[in-house]
Amino acid sequence: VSPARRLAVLRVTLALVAVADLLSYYGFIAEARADALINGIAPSGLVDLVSRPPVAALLVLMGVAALLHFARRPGRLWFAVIGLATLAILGTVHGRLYGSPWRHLFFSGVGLTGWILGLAASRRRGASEDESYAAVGTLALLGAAYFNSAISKFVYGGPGWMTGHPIQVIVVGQDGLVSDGLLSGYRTWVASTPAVAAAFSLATLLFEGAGPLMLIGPKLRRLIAAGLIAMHANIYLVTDIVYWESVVLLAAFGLFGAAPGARAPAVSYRPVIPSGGRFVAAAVVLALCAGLAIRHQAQRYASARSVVAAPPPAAAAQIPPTVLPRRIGPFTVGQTLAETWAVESVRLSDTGLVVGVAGPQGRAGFELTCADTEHRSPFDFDGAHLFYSSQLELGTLTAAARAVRARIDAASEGRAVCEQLAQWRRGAAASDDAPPGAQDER
Amino acid sequence: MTGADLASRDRRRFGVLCVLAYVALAWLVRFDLRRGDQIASLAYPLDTFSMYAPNSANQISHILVRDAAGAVHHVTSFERFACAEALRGSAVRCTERRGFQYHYDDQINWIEAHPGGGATRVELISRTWDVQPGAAPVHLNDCVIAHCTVTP
Repeated sequence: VSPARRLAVLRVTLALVAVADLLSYYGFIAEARADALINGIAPSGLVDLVSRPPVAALLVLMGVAALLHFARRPGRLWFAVIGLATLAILGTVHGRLYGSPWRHLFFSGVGLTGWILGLAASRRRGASEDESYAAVGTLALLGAAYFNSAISKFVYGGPGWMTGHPIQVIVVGQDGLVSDGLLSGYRTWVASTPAVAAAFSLATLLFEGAGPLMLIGPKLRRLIAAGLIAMHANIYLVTDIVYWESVVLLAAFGLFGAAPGARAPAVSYRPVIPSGGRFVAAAVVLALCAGLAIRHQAQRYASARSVVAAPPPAAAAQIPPTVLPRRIGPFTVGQTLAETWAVESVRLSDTGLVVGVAGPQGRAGFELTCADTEHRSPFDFDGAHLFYSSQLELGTLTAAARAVRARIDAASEGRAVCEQLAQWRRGAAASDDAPPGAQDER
Repeated sequence: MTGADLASRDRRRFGVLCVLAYVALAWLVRFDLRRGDQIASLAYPLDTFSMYAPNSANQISHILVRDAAGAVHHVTSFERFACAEALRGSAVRCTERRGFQYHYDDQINWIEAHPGGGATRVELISRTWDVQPGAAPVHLNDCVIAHCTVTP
């Protein structure tokens, strides 16, 4: 296959994957919009406008038309830009409606971005139809996406990710370990055999981390692409999660490849990056920026985790009472609730008030909060949540929960619970400022 | 150096800069969305692809159908559902044991898209496992979300 033909195959493959994603966004957005409305989340502004079926359909048609034009001939940079822009708008709107981006739909955008950057580089060289840089750009960004995935496992998961524990949890959470065939047997084996899960973890980190090395040469490129395709196949087998877009792009750009050949003699070849010195300087600056950005996100995550890792209500009940207040609002340590339950601790959380209770069957914690959250509890008030946390079955806790709820209700004396909670929090914070002994004496 | 060598080196340098720029931009800003913190980058198609990266809790749940004999089945194994209790809103039971939220949502969407019920009485449950590092999962308990009738 000639280099030009290979490049045409890559261009058409990329365009078709992007077209498939664009078409699927139409249905996904309609579904996400309907779900958001059912759950009381009203889309606003641009999200509302774009998620309306006629507008979404118009964008999809625009994008598809642009991508088909892009696919037909080399060098059609602006059609690729229009295709990418429609994917970006629809992807952003879908992410906002659903509450999270769908990453498998990002790979066509990643590929198109790389292609566009390559075409722009070729234009800079005065060879606007040369797609050899475009193919390298797409391969580079595919590698970068997998590299990011590997880095994020260290940033968010730490060394613990290598133990295979996250893979075990994911398989259990995705499959439910139902015994109904050969595949479920394989899933149960992976989830139940830590050494196998650990081996999969290491292989995942190895191949994802090596993503950018696909740029080095055809042998390494094929090896890494094959490893990543095998990883996706295994992910599908153990969790049903499909990343077909990235598999198709890996097969095209990694296994099949571009094999570009430069016909120009050395004297007339005009490189995009004029000198080794400039390349090194640019690479160092970008690497430094990347390192700082990753460090910043890691610190943000660690900081958020330290807040989340504050003792949950049940654990708080075990903290010696001398370091906790004895009374907040209508709750006093030692108070009896629903005949068999007793208040063991009271404390302030970040956004509310936590009551730890103990009874003959175990412990539980109840948090009264007015925080804006999608979570709901069967004991919620109008505008306020009463969340529970316990190893006990809900039925066992119901009497205690109702007693806690009734006490809050009675103490609010007809005022809004959130207003009353704010007052209790202010009172408790003020008593926190008092000398330590003052709390114990109360 | 031949033209081919020069071109190959230039393309590789271009590729390296693309990788570094993408990594830097993807990590530069991470937004919180409804389903999680730090889960979205500056703009599509930038992303850190960090799904499933955080270390998991040691307990995980999954929504299943439990029949009268105690055997469990996937929700999608049934074609018609009629459930006595609410599956959405503040009255839903077992809210603290949903496992992956998107998975729970998918299962509830399946049930709502397949109304009708049937002659078989089952329970819609949230089954919880304890998964400790270096050990096999241990079934902890089942929390009944709803009592339903289904058609296989």
